[in-house]
Amino acid sequence: MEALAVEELRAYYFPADKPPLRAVDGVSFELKGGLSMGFVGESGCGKSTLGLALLRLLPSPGRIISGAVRLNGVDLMSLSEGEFDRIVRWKRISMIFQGAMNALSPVYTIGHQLSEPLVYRLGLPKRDARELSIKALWEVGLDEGIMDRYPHELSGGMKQRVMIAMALALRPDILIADEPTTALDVVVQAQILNLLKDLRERLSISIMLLTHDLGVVSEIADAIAVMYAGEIVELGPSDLIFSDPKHPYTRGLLAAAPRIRGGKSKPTPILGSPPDLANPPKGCRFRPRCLTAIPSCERAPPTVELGSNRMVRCWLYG
Amino acid sequence: MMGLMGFLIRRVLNMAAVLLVTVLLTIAILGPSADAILKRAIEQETRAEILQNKELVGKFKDPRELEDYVKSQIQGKVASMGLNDPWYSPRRLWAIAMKVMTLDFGQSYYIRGYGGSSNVKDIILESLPRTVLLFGTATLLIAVLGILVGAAAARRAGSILDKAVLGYAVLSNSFPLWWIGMLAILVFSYTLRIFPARATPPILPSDPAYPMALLYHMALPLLTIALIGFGGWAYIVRNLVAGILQEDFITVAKARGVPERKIVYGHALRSAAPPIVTIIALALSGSFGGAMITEAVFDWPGLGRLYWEAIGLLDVPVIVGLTYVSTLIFLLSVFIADVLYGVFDPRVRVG
Repeated sequence: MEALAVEELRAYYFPADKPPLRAVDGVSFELKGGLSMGFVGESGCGKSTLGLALLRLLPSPGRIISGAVRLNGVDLMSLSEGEFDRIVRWKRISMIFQGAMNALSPVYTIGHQLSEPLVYRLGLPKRDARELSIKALWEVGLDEGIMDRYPHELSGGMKQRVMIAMALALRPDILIADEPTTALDVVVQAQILNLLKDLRERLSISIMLLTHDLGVVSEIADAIAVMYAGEIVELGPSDLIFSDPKHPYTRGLLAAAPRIRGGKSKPTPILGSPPDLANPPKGCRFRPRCLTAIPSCERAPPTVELGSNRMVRCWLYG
Repeated sequence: MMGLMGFLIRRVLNMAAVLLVTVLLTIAILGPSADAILKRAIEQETRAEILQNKELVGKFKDPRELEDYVKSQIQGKVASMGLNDPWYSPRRLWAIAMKVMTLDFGQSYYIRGYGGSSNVKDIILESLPRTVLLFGTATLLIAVLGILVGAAAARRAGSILDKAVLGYAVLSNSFPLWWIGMLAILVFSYTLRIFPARATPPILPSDPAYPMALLYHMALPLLTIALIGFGGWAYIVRNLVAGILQEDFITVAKARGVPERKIVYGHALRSAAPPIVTIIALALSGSFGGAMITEAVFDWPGLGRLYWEAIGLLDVPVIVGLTYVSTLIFLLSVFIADVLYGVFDPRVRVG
């Protein structure tokens, strides 16, 4: 059974005196227990908004408009804010936030911050919380010596490990990892990805990996959802998406990524820029940048099931 | 540990240098006129002393002889006080600077302490506790009120409370304190007769009722200063905290279950501590030195009023002493603020 099922989720931002920004506009997917799904797209395609919406942490003036979210069969949308905070947030769904540099409070020790979810969410006494925090540090390959250190005394990679330890401390079912490796150097990136893979297998959690980096997704994602302008345009098992991309945008993304064994073929960029989310193009949102656009594209594209759990939203297949 | 010692030594040397420069500058400004005043005073005193001594005067037959004697006496006194060298001679500057630096301000020209003492150090030490009592209490009250109200406004940014804080900050900062002070005296002392108009209790400090009387007399200036002062504070704190509440680490803290109260008063307020501590330190030291007009309005016998009096009379030793003490207080509070940074924010800890 799927661990997380999202149906037609819409989350908009409502700036004062301006039309709403449709950052997440009708997103549906299912994430099976213990598997990981990569959400790939350019900056501003709605990845982070999707993650924050699932934790109900959208910054004002953002709001979830409609849609259904089920976690292990339980309807999360029917929960009040208090219930959601008590039952779901961090306990069932937790998140590694974008930018490890700014994710930790500068004025408290690592130990204090690691203990906080255990104290406030589980009601553990401070001493027990500290012991569990030390174990959580071991799990991510850190020494208990950093318990009394402050974030500014740690390297970027160490901070990201602390963040992962903190996110997994309550053994959630779903871990949302928002750009977990940006701002880290390549060696540390690889270490963090290996750690995530390793933890996923040991703790059998599901990971939602939000990233713009195709290399990162190919490392750990079982399935890939390609997002464009607030919508999922293609969804399927990773190997198939990489070997046989269907949507013109997915093809463009793959062609734009540099390859080590690419020989003389240079990466080709996708021309143009993502649309204004307050006023997206009618019909297919990728149409203005698409090289294979046909007249039908002026109408909303159909969702085409391709078999082996693949889906694409494009008129070329409809 | 070595880092900390090095830091302290550097800071103390730095403070000593600033103090020395302050003293030299004060002398440079007051020196020429001070010398003239001092010589005139010696002349008058010596002449009066001799002329009062009828026996001595009787010994002189010729008034010219008497005049020569008086002049030689004056010369002797001037020489014995080292006033023959110009004020800028290194010997005199060094002697004065060393004395002032060790808190020996000499005797005042005109101002006397409440016990009749003319020792400048005694006079300043009489006024200092009163200023610290009134302005120290007021500043702490302002800081506590400002921080609490500011944090509460930041917590509910855009709310009615938030807008009220902004409005009050603008309003309270638009009126000079001395004017509000006079209004307060008019309303609360003369019309409503709730508080006394003069801030000095009419009983002696030895009276057991004195502390209570002092507090009662202090209430009106204290409330006026605090109520006028805290608005701007609240606004500054509100902006600092509201900015920090936008940071990523606040969202993360909320996500991992930290209660909102602890986020605002712990994570956010502590991150805002360095600038807040700086303002407290500057406000404290600033209020001690710059309290002249306020103390005059409320008739509060503290440092500010003493300063005012000393400048009016050009009582140079008192002015030099007060300038030195104000500078010392300022430097000490900045130093304490620096140390407190490290307590609140680990990022600025040394060593």
